[in-house]
Amino acid sequence: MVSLKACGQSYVFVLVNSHDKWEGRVQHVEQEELVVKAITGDEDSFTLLMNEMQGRLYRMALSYVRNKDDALEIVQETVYKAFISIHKLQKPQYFSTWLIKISVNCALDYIRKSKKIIYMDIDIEDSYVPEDSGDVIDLYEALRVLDEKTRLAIVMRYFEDMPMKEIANILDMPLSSVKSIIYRGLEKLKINLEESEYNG
Amino acid sequence: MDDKLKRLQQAYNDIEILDELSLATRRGIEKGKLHQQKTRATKRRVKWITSIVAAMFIFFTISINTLPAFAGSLEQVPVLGKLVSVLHFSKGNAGGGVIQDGTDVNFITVKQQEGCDQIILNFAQNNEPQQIANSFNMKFTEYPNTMTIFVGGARRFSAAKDLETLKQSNYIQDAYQIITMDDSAIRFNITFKEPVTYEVKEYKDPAQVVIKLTSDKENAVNLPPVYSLRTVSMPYGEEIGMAEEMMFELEGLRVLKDQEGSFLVEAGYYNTEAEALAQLKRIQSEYGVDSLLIEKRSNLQIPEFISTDISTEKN
Repeated sequence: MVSLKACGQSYVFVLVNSHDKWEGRVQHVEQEELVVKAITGDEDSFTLLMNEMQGRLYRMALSYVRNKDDALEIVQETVYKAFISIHKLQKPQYFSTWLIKISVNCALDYIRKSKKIIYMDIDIEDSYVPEDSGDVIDLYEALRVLDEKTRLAIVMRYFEDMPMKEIANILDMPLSSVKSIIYRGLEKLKINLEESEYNG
Repeated sequence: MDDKLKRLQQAYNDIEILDELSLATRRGIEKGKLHQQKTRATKRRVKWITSIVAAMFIFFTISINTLPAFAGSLEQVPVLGKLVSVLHFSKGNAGGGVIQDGTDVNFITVKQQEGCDQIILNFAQNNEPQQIANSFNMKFTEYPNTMTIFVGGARRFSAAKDLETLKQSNYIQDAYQIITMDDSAIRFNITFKEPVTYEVKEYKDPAQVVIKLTSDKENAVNLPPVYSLRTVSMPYGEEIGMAEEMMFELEGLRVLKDQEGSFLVEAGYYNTEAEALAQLKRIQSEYGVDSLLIEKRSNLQIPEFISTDISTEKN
């Protein structure tokens, strides 16, 4: 991983070898151009942006709902909502935050509607059998102990490497609350981080 | 970093990206496109409807102002808000309003505009502007060009003082009140200097009757004189009222002011003296009125002052 800090710019270019999660960030500048075009109604630019982001959206969705069909549905709904409202996006640089916020809201809606919400800290759904195996099961199993907002916050912070401020914005919560739910979440996961690592 | 967290991160990154993912994204975009098409179609429809409504409104406004027949057919449509109706005159006769009582026809104004004048009648009930006009009737007659306005249920005529100001209008020769034996109505005449076209609109909230006058000089033809069947000149008062009541059912009956400010009752006018004479005799026998005389009068001429003495001489 190579990090470059652009002079006078607040964003960081992170170059990674091939992982699609990071590809969007490699093309950060290009992404902003695409966003500008997409805002003005350019469908091709929007499609490219979605192709870039779909992996992230899917992984995040899957970590909320643990079921690939539901996750795909959440992605579809997120893309749909983004498509019909991208013209309202005023600051292209916040595209990712904006899209993830849509995705989180879609996921929360979906969970509410389908009542598939699993309050992990209250009850455990024993009938559920994960489709994947190995480490993925570990991930699901681990996350099961967290309530939905904490899970979202931890996924965004540690798996998506998003800044606390952005997470607070997406979850519509004060920064201090986000920090405290993440702290409590990590405790529940029995993960010990150095203070600096936790603060991100 | 904690090992467990690293493992979880790895597991997260290892989540398999399914082929269906691109399909889901595609479907999301298609759904969005469909939504946009629908929204655009709706917007277009709304635009169309708006422009059609606007066009109809313009058409309606033009038509209602220019075609009395059209206005008559649409007067029940409450599109113009406060406009109640555009009066449709039939044989110079039209009416509107609703039956009410205790009204004061409190003031009349005249608005002079380019090419037309407007006379506005206002109604009040207990010194408050009335919402709906009283039942009223307007009759337009010629020799001289006169509009007789009758307002039923009117106990007061505060606007009587305004009649004088109506003469400010370029088209109005005179405006005067007529005695009405029935004290629950008021009547007044407006005499025009020249041939005019008139359009009358009734409004509500507040109640107003607007008479729009425009010159009709261009279309005026030289009308031959007529033979008017009339009484002698009398001062404003009961005598006039009684004379009118005696011939109440006669068609074309009207009270007019003469050149000297006295009043007379006219029992119609006729194209020839012979016709007038025949009618005079009929009235004499049927109504027992033998005080009528015949006056030859040209189109815009105000009736002459004819005193009892002259009538005696003529008879």
